[in-house]
Amino acid sequence: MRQYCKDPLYKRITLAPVHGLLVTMAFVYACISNANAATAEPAITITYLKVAQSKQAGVPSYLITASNSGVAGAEIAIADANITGRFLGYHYTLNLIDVPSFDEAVRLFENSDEENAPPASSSQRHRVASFYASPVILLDAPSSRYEAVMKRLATEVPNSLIINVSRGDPDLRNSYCDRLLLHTIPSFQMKTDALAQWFRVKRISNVLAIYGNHEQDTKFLRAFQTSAQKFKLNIVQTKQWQTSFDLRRAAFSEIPQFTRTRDDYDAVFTADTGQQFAYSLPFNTHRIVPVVGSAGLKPLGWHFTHEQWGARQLQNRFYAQFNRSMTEIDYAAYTAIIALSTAQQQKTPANGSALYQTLLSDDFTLAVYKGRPLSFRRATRQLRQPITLAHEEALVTHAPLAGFLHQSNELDTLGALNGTCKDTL
Amino acid sequence: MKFHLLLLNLWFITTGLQAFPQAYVTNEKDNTLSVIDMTEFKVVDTIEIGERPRGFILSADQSHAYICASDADRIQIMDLATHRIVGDLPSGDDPETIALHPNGTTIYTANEDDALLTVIDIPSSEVIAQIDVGVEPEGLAVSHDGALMVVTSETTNMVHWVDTRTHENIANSLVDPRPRDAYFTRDDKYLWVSSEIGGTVSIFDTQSKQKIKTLSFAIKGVYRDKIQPVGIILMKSKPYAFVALGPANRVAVINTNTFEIEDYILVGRRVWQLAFNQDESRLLTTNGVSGDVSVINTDTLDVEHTIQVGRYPWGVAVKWQ
Repeated sequence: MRQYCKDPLYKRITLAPVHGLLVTMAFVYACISNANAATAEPAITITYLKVAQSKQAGVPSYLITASNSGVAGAEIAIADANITGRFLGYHYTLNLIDVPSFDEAVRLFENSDEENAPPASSSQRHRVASFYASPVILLDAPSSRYEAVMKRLATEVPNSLIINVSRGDPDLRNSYCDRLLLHTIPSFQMKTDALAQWFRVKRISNVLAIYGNHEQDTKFLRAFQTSAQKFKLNIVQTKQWQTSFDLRRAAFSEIPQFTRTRDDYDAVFTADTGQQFAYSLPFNTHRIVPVVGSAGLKPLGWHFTHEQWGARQLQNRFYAQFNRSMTEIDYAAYTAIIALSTAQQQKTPANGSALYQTLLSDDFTLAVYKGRPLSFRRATRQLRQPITLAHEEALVTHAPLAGFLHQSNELDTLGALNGTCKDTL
Repeated sequence: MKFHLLLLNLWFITTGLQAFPQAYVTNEKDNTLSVIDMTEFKVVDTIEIGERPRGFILSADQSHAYICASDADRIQIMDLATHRIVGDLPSGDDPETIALHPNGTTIYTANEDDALLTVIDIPSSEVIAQIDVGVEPEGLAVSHDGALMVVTSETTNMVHWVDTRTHENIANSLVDPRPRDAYFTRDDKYLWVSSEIGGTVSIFDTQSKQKIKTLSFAIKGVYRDKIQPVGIILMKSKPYAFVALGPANRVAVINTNTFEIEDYILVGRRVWQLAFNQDESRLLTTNGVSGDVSVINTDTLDVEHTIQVGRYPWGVAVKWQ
């Protein structure tokens, strides 16, 4: 709360120097009344659990993800939610647990209840205590450790709502049905369906698919194969990337060789979640055609070129605060918190299961800069949302594209609808 | 001879400016203002103004205009006799919309990036107050008696009620997602508020600040998520309200006595803001995506003219004196 008071005070004085004193006095009063509001309602802690992804070698420095990826989105969402909360009597605080590995997280949990544990710093103890008190945990963990993380969370915080803000794996949408788990990051299937719609509209049907060595790349590829079947695209060949040469030296000569196929193609799909090769494909492929997927035309939950429906305001605020552009992980974290805040506006108590029920209920909708009301699919617990198709210079369009219809919600032309979690509610 | 031509030119220019009524339209992506002759229904002038112009209103005597130049972080004052910018008001960051108090000297602006409502005294060009409101404040309305004003915040989904004498936020009402515009009825008994993502118009009782009615829209052949109410305007002469429905490309015609939606008028793409001429016989709509202005005859409810303006026309007002 103090943070909030500090900043506008400065702004106000610079805005109206003549009335500085008057405005300051008015402002001090405002701060006092805010403080009262805050003490009346206990703060609700949201934990952002970030387990670092093991770094893959060879990623160009300009493509490396920012260290506060996701967390920045949560921070700005909490500031937004608290402005609303000021009028309605709730207040959120963010508790960040940022660990280099899952083992490190386990160590934190284990030390929390052992008397003879190594002395932890007071801030660390505070973070762990806040973690146990969080009704909601935003989870940003590598998919290779997901099972271990989810298992551990089930014992440590069985009643907390977990919101996946970073992983698109389809299998996550079909497992842990007995847990309070939601996904605000789009699934791979939603993204590849968006690309497939774009292919259909552009009358492109022959596609070369290239995928990397990471297990996530295989999952992204599999989603594309499903989309190709659904939207009747022809994958002329599927090739796995070979890291046998240095891209920075040899891309221009090697990639044309690698992308030679027996049958012609009109586009190249790339599944390269670890930024290993896709970035060097555009303008280097044997046939000069559009590259889509992990490079070129990307299907994303959010991109800095998206400005419509008030998005520019959020992009501006984000850039001003963090000096970088907002990514889809930031947006997934942002959306998760705004969803909670929206649920609280409907008088949902701040506990994991009540929030989960409200968010999944039929009449819950969410407005988050995408020009349509968003909602959660009950069967997969996935947030329905448009997919932004963009390249580095500009926005191309948002899927669902015009003409792709669905009997109940056009957003349901993107992604899998029939999940296995349907009957467990 | 050259001198005579110059004189002739000047004469044309000055008489051109005198031909009222004229409509003014801000073009958000062109940084310009289009001037439309309302007898010929064509653009007679395009004037360069501040960056990202959005909200546009006239002074009480219609001699000046106040323009929100959002990216220039100022409200520009234009002398409408010469079409020159004659000054600025200290608006705070990113002013998007403006509203004038009936006293003609107090102006309200919503600072979208700072969650603030700024109150400015025009004669002294000074900020009288800044009021904390919800995230992304946008829609502004001042009651006709001048006692009350409201601001809607798009991301907080609220109507904030402000006492215009004390500049205090006296009440806050929740409204459907992404409220964009607000309008008091002529007798100030009710407040109409549009919700873009909620797809509704809410009607509040001004006394109790409670919602008494929610209107929703259904247009055959238009997907419901595309019906996004934005601009609202109520007639003084007849019991009718007009609501711009954004990407539904239509304006809804609502009987304010019965709350029946009587018609949907097809206009340009992504219809945004609305303005009447003096006798309310014509309604102008700014159509953001198609870059034009539709002129609706309010008796026949037909679109009589479509006038191409700049890119992303946003604010609109008609000057008749």
